[in-house]
This record gives sequence, structure tokens and C-alpha cells, in this order.
Amino acid sequence: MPRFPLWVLTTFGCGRDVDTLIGDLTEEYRAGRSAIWLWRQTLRGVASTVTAEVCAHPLLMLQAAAVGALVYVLLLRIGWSLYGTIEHFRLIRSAYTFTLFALVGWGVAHFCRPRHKAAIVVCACPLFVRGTGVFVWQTVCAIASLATACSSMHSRPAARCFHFTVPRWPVLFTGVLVARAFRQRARDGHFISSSST
Amino acid sequence: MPKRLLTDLELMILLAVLRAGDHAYVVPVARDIEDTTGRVVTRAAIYTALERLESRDLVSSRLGEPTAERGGKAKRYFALTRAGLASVRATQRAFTAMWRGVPELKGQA
Repeated sequence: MPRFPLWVLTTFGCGRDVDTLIGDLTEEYRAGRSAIWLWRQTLRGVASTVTAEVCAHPLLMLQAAAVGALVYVLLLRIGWSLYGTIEHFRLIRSAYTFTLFALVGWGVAHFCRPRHKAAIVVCACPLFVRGTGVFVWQTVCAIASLATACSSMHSRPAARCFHFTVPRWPVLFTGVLVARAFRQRARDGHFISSSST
Repeated sequence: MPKRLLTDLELMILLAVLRAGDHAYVVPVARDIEDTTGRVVTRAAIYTALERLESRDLVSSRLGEPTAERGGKAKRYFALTRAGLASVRATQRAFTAMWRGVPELKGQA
């Protein structure tokens, strides 16, 4: 049974019936459905449940988008002043990006409880659209950190720090690997020119 | 006559729930719709529609026992309420009434 699509559904799917939906998909996959079918159901499932939440609480989602944009711009401005120092340290830069998106995710999640998953996805969409292509490594970091923000809301406050730093490191590491693959594009100046706008 | 008629997907889902009887959860409901009508439906869309119908008291639901074949997850069983049955009948009556008096469709089932 592929775990990744079910993880995506558990992390980003909203509503009362996510667990039963995962059970249904597991049952059908074991009865002979293909992995493509499972992925299609998963992605449409996330889209469908998030859309339902957004339609049910449009004002809250607008507020979430405003909070997300505000935190993002504030932290980006602070980080921009430090950028000259960390420009040549890819790992630190990736960690900074991860922290940036995680803080955006946390800010939005805490503001929009208990609808935090839909709110985080709503805030993430424009960031992903902005990041895809030029900042693929940033996008991967963003997905990892926003997923962390989604998951951390399930744990107790005392355990959140551990939950944030330890189990998601493999995901962050993947982000760093992708960052290395795209380092040439970053060196060409795409990062600097687009971040400053 | 109810204030709002059912949409085509809602009507199909409610009919499939009726056809599945006591074992109406999303897997047989979705299969029935796909096999009978040829329409491919997302499982999450069925849950969303059923949750909406439940909020209008047309459907009731209960959780079953978790099973190993479902990765330890429970099934959610659905059943029509009296209002749900009335809503299905009202929609059927409305569509049948629209059907009558259309010469192009005369004699077609």
C-alpha cells in the first residue's frame, strides 16, 4: 500500500470523514485499483474537501490569506536584510526558507483553528504559484514546512517543538537536495531578483 | 413540495444509498453509480455531498467497526431519513412532470 498519497490526504485533507475516506481508498486499492487511481482520488480528495471548507467559511479564509501574506512579507523583509550574510550558505538559506514558511503556516494555523488545514492550503497556493519554476527548491521546502504546520496542530503543545524539528527532517533534507540541483538557477540571480519584488 | 430539489449527483447518491440497503457506505455507493450510470465520481465528492445532505436532515450516518482490510479505519454507514425519502420522491415527481408533454421524448424510457 503506497503510504505517500495517504500521508498527503491525512495531512492536507479536511473535514470529518478524512479517516473513513482513507479507509475506503485503502479497501479499494487492495481490491485491485491502480496507484494512479489512488493518486487521482487523493489529490481530488484534498481539493474537494478544501473547497468545501473554503465555501463554508469564506470570511475566515480571507482572513487567513491576509494573515499569511502579512507574516510572509514581514519575515521576508527581515530575512532580506540578513540575506547578504547567508547568500553563500545554501543549507542556511534552505533552513531560512523552511523556517519562513513554517512560521507563515503556524501563524495561519493558529489564527484559523479548527479550520487550519484549509486555511494553510489557501495561503500556500499563491506562494506555490509564485515559487514554482523559479524557486522549485523553495516550493519543496514550503510544502514540507506547511505540512509540518498542519501536522503539528494535532500534537500537544509540549510535544510540538520535537514534532517540528525531528520527524520532518527527511522531508527537509529532500528539499535541500532539490535546492542543490537548482543551485545554478539561484546563482544566475533568479532568487535575488524575484525576492526583491 | 420541498423548497429545493436534489441535484443530479445528490439524487444518484441517495438512490444508491437506498439500493445498498443496510450496507450503504461510500465504496458500494460509488461503484453502483459508476456501474449503473457510467459517471466517474470522486469518493471525497460523495462524502462532501452526503455531509451536506446530512446537514439538511435528509441522511443519517453512523460509524462502523474498524477493520484490518481498511487499514484499521472504520466505515461510515448512511441511511435515508423520512425527509430524505420525501425529497427523492418530490424530485422524481418534478422530473416526471417535466417529462410529460414533450413530444420528442414520447415513448422513450
